[in-house]
Amino acid sequence: MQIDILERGAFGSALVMLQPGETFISESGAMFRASGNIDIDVTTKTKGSKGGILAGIKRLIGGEHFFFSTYRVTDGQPGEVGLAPTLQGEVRVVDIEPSLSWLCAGASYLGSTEELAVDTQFQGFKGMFSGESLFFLELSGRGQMLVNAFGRITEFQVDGQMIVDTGHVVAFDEGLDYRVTKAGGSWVSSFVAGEGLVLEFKGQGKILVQSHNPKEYGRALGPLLPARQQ
Amino acid sequence: MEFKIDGNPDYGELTCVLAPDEKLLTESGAMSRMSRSMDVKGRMMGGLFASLGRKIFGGESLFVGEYSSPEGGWISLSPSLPGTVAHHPMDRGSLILTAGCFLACSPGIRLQTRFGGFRYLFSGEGGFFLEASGSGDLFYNTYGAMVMKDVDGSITVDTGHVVAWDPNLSYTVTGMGGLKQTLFSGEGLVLKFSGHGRLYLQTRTIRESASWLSPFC
Repeated sequence: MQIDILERGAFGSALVMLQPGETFISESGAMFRASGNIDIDVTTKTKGSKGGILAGIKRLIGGEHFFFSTYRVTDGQPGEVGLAPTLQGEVRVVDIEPSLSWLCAGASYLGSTEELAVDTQFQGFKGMFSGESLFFLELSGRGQMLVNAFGRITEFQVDGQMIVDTGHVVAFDEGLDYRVTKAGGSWVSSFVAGEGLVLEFKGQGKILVQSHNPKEYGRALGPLLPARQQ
Repeated sequence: MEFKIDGNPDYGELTCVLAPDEKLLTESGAMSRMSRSMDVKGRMMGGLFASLGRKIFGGESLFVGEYSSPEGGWISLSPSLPGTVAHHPMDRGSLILTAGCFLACSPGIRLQTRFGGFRYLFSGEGGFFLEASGSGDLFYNTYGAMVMKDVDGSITVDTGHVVAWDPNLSYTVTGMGGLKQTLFSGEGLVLKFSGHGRLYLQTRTIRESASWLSPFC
């Protein structure tokens, strides 16, 4: 399997080239083109995950789709699938090793190779308070994950601590621990400054962040739109 | 203060490195990431009245964030709309900004609300401006790319595309041509600037994006 990132900048997409016998998994609705020999199916479960209907329901509660889409070739010839996210921004490949799982914000997951187990991780109270990331997807095993972002992606190698606004987290490895906290010294000043809750990352590991916050964009645009017609 | 702007023209963001106890004032909610040592306080710029004016009429938040750290640190800011982040160094001058364009400034800069005149109230852009004055670094953002124009004489600009201008320029809010053109050209009210000075424009407006999306709601 080979994955190419086709465009840089605001309109990134991915092209996945599949060999016979290989399967690629994506967020439902992400496929925008596929060669004629590609068979598309849906599943609630990825290889090695605790999948099934319960996993689908967990994803629904997390605001994602019940099913993943799966792609494989049917005729013994190579095939290709183009995947594009909803929001404008960068698409990236993350290489994952069995020794270090990754957590991916639900809205940033675009797809993954079949060897990776994809589990929904509810963060309990800390996830709920963070608003944007009620849940993270946990990807473990050996393979590649595709992530998308609103705007640019910047990668940080954290060694110590770093604060990231909840709406800017794309994905991070499990060398990092996180907790939901306030941006400043007091809760009042954090809220008054418009930041409210942020994520504090601690430890050693990689984190990908997005330059822009989709919710902020929605909040700027939303009030200018007419009421939804029934 | 050291700073770096990345991602222009479509996804501009600003990163500032602050010395110990150095302060940065930011648009509310603009912080995307920062070092752990940074602390934030909500501050009303120019007192309660000016802050209320900015919120109610200027489309800005009541509070600005004041970031600092006793040991120094870094902070990244991004505007809510994708586009360009611009740096405007100031030395005892002033600059007029339209609603929603302020991103950050150093504490030597003062922000005040200015009434744009009754006609501007009807332009759909909020009716109030921000005036930034003093010395230091000012950062503002545009929706889409930023276009700079040195005006010598006069120029007509769609109200939604105006980001900032040098107060040496005088302006009037007017229709485009006669009544027929004003109503049917799709331009509505425009700003006519005259004099000598610099004018900053943005290539997109959020109102037009929203009106394009509206039929799909």
